[in-house]
Amino acid sequence: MSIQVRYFAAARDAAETPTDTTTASTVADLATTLQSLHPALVPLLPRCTILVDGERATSTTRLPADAQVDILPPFSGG
Amino acid sequence: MLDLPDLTAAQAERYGPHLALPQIGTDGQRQVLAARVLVVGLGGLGSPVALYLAAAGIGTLGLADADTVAQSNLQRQVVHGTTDVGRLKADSAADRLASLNPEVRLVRHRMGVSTDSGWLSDYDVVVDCTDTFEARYLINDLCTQAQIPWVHAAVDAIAGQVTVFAPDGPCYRCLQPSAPDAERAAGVLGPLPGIVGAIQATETLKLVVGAPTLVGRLLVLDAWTMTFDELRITKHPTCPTCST
Repeated sequence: MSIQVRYFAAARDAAETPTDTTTASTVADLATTLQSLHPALVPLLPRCTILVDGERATSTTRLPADAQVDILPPFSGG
Repeated sequence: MLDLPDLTAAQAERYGPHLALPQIGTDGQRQVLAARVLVVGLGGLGSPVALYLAAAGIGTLGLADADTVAQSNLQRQVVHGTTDVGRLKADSAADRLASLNPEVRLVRHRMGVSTDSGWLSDYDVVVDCTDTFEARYLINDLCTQAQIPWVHAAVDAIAGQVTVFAPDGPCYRCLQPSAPDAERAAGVLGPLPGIVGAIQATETLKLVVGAPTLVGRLLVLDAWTMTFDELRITKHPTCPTCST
């Protein structure tokens, strides 16, 4: 099982990379792994929208094999 | 043939560059001239959106904002000028747009959106140029209920996002069901809302002429690395707004 992770905007800055490839069975497992890899994500990740293959996920969402996970921080300004 | 008025000779000259495009042409421009578009928020995003839509000849352009122009707005809110500081943004923008294109019917809404904004359904398209999650959820819920497509964008610091929400696609709550505990960036790069707002104006014109838009696709841009990424977004099966 290989999960492709894409970071956007401030999440990309925090991770210091645009992408990661890792393994995880749920979004919660994935979050723990990514926060361990990139400690700057610790305060930001809980505020981000996490999309699994285009659908908004929660911490209990199970990750299909070869899922694409997009991590998007909130934007509010206009 | 569309049941819309023919272009006058002056309109054919003014909008000639659109008439020459196969994507718009004479029939498309007639649709633009008949369209009713509401711009909510006349700040960084609303400035280029309102300017480009007025220049394009949108028939009726609603301008909604309760705020007044501040000196610190002028670094990016290009529809307003130095002498407009202290004026209501709806009035300041309307005066500038009337000078740009006197043909456009400008409707000044000197207020933001609220649950009482029944006037929103007087429009064919709504453009979200607001700066709070609260306003965006209101626009989302009102437009979803009234089945009005709306063009969403938001910016922070050096990055922005833009998409189109329409009745047959996902809605804003599919992407983000409630307001996150967001830290607002202290600054914003001046031209950034100009780039994002120009994309919003483009998507608005495409909605008006019936062309495919960013529905189901979220464009995220980083102005500092000048990269554009696209995220696919789908309807959420338990979305509190659009799943029923």
